[in-house]
Amino acid sequence: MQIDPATYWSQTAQDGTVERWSRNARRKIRLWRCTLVVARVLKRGLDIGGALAALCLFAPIFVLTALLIKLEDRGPVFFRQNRVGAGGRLFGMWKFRSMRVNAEQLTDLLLQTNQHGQAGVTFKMRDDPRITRVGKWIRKLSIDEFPQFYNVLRGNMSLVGPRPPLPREVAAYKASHLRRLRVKPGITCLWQIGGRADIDFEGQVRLDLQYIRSSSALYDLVILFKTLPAVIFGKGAY
Amino acid sequence: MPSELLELVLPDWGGLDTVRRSPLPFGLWTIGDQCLLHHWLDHAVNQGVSRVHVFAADRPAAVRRVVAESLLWPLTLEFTALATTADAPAGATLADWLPGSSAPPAPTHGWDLIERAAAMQRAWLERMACEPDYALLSIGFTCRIHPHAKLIAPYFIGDGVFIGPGCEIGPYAVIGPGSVLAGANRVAHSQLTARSFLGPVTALDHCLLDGGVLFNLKHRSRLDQFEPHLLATMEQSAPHVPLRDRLRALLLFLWLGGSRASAGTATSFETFDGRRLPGDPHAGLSNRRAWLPLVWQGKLPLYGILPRTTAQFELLNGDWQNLIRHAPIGVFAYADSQGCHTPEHPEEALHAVYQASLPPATLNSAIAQFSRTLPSAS
Repeated sequence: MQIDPATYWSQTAQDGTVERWSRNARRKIRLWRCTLVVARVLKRGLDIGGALAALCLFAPIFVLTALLIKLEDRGPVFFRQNRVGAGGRLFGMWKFRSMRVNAEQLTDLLLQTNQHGQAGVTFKMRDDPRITRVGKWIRKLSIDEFPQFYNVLRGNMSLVGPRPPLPREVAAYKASHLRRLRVKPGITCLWQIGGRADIDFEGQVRLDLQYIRSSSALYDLVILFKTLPAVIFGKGAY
Repeated sequence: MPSELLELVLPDWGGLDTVRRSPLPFGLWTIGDQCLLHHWLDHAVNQGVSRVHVFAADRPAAVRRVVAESLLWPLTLEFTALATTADAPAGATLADWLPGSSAPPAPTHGWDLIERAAAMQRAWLERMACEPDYALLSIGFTCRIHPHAKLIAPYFIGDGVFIGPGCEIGPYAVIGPGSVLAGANRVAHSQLTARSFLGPVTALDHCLLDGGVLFNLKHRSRLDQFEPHLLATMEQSAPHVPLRDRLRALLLFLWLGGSRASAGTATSFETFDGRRLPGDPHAGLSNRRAWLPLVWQGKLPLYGILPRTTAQFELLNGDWQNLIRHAPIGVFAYADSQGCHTPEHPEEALHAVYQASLPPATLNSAIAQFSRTLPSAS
């Protein structure tokens, strides 16, 4: 779109035109600022509302799972692990314990059988011997992730966002992978609904970047609804 | 075999920055999506380096703050302030250009510095356009881009940007985070820094828009004043005055005699950055009672450097002007605690530069100690 300079200057010469244009500019700036604030408030509101609803709704499952874990090996019910959050800040992520109490010590031994390859950034394997009998089922149904609703309430995490990596995994990142840490991590994201552990690390990063690029409250709702069948049918979970 | 340690020395070109007069040293200027130092940290990660030691002589407090906040990179970061870059270790890499390509000759004046940053940005955009995920990386999150806007690669659009209808962005355009392009804008070979506003039917070609100031690289001109409907900055201009400082100012004002004490300050003066303050610019402590009401109104910080008129500011050399220009002014300064109560005192500028080169609140306790002695002295 072009404007003839003569037309522009003749318009500015009219009384009050520049003031009207300046008022419109200020209005536009205010409107965009409000839009950004509303987007932030909507995202946080969805997180708080969704996490509270989930904690109330799944309370019986929480109690039952806690009992089963306690009965199986008398170990602790919950497991807190350091994860890397938005901007590289560390936070403690809560989970139901699905592995043996000494699982961390066994990890190094098992790194050779990594499903994502020995040089892989993330560590996944089928028939992991560290997983308990109860653990196998709660992982299959993703119940082990439910305590993360508490992290969402605290503000360390969001309902939807890239999965928070372990510090060990981030140490193996390339610079381009770090871009997925620019936003708050979440419980579910695009790669959880698209095949979960079956997708390789580069594919996960690409899906995370795709989410970051097009994130909005509505898109979050769509992902949340699509997560339900993925969880129920245990797609890609082991 | 990658080295465990990368030693980086940031260029000391503060004295050359006579055109842009940036509050940040060259190493912290934004090139594309992040500052130059962060591009080097990306490079360190890709090289498998685990420790980075940063050396800087130009505005080290700002570099130290950025280094401390750089948690995203899985690196151990260390920082050392230097008197001059010559004091850096012999093997240190000079971070004066993007990593991975050879740097052109060092700049010699202020426009050279701006053109160097623009050339680096072009190189970065070209490099990014070759990445397989360019489509995902070129636009930030929470952006609204009108379907009738045209994007011509290579370009980069930051987070929270609004692009109106009929805009043409690129090639070689960088739109900083939080910017608003009202509509029918054309931006090519140009950079808009964070929170810029570009009014409707405005075109930028080979330009830098930084904090509402336009730099035309083709004609080498700097334009400071614009009608707000054409170009503006969306940065908040009012200083942040903590509630504790406001209450302290109120108490001091009452203690020093309240409105009775400031009744005689009918004169006012203008500071070099266009702020109007009551009192006489040559007077010492007698002005301060008249400035205290501005603190609880949130218009002036309680602690900062002493305000200067344009004449007092221009007496300083270029390096010192660059340091003092961006430091917040306040009712009480570190110079006060050292017995210098007016910018005309021969040692005041030295204390002001010292205060301006440190992180903002570093000397506040010394200044607060001085302000507590005022009532007893008066």
